Amino acid sequence: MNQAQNPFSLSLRRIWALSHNTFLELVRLKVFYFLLLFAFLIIGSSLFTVQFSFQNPLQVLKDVGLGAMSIFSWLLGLLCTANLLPKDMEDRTLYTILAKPVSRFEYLLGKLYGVFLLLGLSVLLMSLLFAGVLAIREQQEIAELARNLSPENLPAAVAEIRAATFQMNLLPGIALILLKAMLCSTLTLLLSTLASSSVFTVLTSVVVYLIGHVQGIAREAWLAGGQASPLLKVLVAGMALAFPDLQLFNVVDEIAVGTALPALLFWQVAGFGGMYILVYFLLAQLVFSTREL
Amino acid sequence: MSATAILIKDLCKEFPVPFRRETVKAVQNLSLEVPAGEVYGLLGPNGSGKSTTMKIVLGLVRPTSGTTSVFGVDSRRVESRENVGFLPENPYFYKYLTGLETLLFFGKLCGLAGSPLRERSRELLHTVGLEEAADRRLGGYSKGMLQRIGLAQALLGEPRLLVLDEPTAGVDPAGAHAIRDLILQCKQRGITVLLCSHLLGQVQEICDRIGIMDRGELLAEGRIDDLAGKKNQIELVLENATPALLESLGAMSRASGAQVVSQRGARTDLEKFFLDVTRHRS
Amino acid sequence: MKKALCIVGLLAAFGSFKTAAEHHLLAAQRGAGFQLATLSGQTRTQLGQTGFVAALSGFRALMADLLWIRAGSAFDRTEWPRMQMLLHAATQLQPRAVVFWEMAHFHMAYDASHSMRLNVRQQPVAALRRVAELEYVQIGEDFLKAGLVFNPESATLWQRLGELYSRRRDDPARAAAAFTEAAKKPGALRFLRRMAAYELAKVPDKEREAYAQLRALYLEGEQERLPNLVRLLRQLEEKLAVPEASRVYSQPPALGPSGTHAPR
Repeated sequence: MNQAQNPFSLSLRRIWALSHNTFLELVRLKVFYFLLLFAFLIIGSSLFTVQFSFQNPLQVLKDVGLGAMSIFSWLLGLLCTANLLPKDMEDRTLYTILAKPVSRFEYLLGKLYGVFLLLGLSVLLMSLLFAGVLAIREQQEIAELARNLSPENLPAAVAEIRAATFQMNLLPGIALILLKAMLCSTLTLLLSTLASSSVFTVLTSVVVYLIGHVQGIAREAWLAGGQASPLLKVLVAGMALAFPDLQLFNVVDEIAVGTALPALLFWQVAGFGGMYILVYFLLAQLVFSTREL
Repeated sequence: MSATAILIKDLCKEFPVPFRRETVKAVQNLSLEVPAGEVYGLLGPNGSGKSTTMKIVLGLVRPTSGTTSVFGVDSRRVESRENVGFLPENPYFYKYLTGLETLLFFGKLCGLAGSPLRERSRELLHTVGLEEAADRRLGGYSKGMLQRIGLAQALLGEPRLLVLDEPTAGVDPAGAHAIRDLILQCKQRGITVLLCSHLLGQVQEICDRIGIMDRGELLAEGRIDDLAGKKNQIELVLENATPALLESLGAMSRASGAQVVSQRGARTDLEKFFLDVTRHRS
Repeated sequence: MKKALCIVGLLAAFGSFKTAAEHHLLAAQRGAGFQLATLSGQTRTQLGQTGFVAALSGFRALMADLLWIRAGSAFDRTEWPRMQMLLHAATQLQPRAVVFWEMAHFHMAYDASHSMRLNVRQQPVAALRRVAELEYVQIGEDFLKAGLVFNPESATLWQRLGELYSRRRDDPARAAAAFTEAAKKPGALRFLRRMAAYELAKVPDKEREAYAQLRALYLEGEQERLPNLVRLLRQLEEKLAVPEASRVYSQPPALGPSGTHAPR
């Protein structure tokens, strides 16, 4: 049992027990009700967009769905993660768990995996619902066209509708939405190991999320040089160095209008996100391993 | 197999005070040894450092200096907890789990799995008398039930050392009695127990030895009889004694040169001793 | 406190590495047609504060749709300048949506400009109406050109540019160039090469080139020998005095039902 001395001691069974328990916790706390909001939003806008004549209603529906998936998965990850550690500490369940032969590394990893499981399942459910609603609307639109258009014009119009519905090429884009949510969850976990209240964790995480989406602009301005005041330069440089560029994960909008995402680029972005998750997690472990309980 | 269950050497723990240079000394130069098979009671007022000591023994808190080990393994190592069962004070488990699920979860953390885990969990639910409540969520458990499921959880991994923090705090007398019996069963099976409690009567009944802490220091330690017994006095507890019997006992005592110092209902001597020791300090 | 400093230090070390990585990743994404949206001051004004934040954090495409829908209501009220601003903001937010550029140009260069031409009530002077009309044609052209910066491979936008030069500007030389470009793009329709040749035929001194193109198309086979093409080919053969032996009708004639394909 020499490996137990190492702070990264790993037992997959224990990690799985912890993840499964975290997942179960979140499920039994009824966080999935949150996804009902997504369902209402999608179905509601599906009915609402029928009246749009100026813009392709299916395109609007698709953009609503993809945008909502991005926000919902992020919010779900954030809210679930922010409370994990504080709650266990407050209830002293953490003592009971860590008094078992469980390393803090296993505990943290188990918790995070539990959230990842939940996020994965949520994104899957949202995608299925989203694809389902779009498919129904697609059939309605095609039926409508078949009534109104002459047969020779029909194929082109149908093709246009098909292009605006759920296409398989969206999947890599959705995978990156999930990855972004996972990254933000890991960041939230890191913040919660530092924080003494979950309000701080949530607020800071939201701020990082917002800054993360403009970080790219700041970074490019900083890298390009230019004639800003020294104070502003330091500020912008700090922003570029400290915050993740979350905009890099938002590629699904372009995919939705037909831009092809090269496989290499997808894996680069995915690897980049994975690296962020790893770094944030290791930092969280560093903080947590020395934290007094 | 080490014959020493817990070994604490020169243990110090200081907590930093936020935004100040000073520190709070929670434990100072504590050394103690609990041999395997003994039931050891750690007593002390609130804030005396006994909980911190317990947490250090369990590896939950890092010592500032000194060492603690459990069955010869340094407490900072994960495997030192392989033979330990812990029941925290006022345990809260996951409310959304049922009694059985709670045991299955903690069992997995102890490295158990499959049907042995299931059998062991059922068996422990029976032991702590929660068979009926096995499939109810902990959210609906009473305090006494939570304490009992906590004890079951602590016993899951067949521990050789049980660490119990206020095991009967807030539990009604009947529940407390049941828990006390469980601890005594453990003692009979040779499990070492480290017990923190305020309930001195209970400690006196269960423990072989006690240590008294205040402000981070161990003030007194020893067998209860040695600490609280008066060498030249003996207490006789009688049941259904008639006044005539008492009268003749008094006469016999006087005849043999002994003296009846007091005559009253049985009570705890330990409490007096405890208060004496701690009052002396302040 | 020491821990916090330690973390800040580690983040900074990681930060300098990841900043470079992000810079390269952004360049790679832009190269592949991603991350091209610009949130200029004007777009920000159109979106408002909330919309701007939404656009930044995942609802960019939806914000573009909403601006587009608002442009639609501006269209209904024939508020052309307002519509132009909304269309501009929408295209800036979603620059890879070809349909936005295409429709934006269409509404400006055709709808708005026609509306200017017919706007006798507000502008009785015909010459000034013409100026206004041409201004909107120019705006439409600008939309197409801006769209082509973001979507240089779009056959549709090149085709629309050709059509605009042909129909709204009477500039067959530039129209021909645009159609030629369109024909080279992936997914281009066959008729674009014919359109290019037709336009080129209208340009003085380019008839010989046009003739060569039409002839090449004719020789490609049956599917290109449409009545207009054949007629134009004939006209050019006459005009350029192509020697009898190398004229296309010396090739096996294609007989259409109307007989227009038959040689003289």
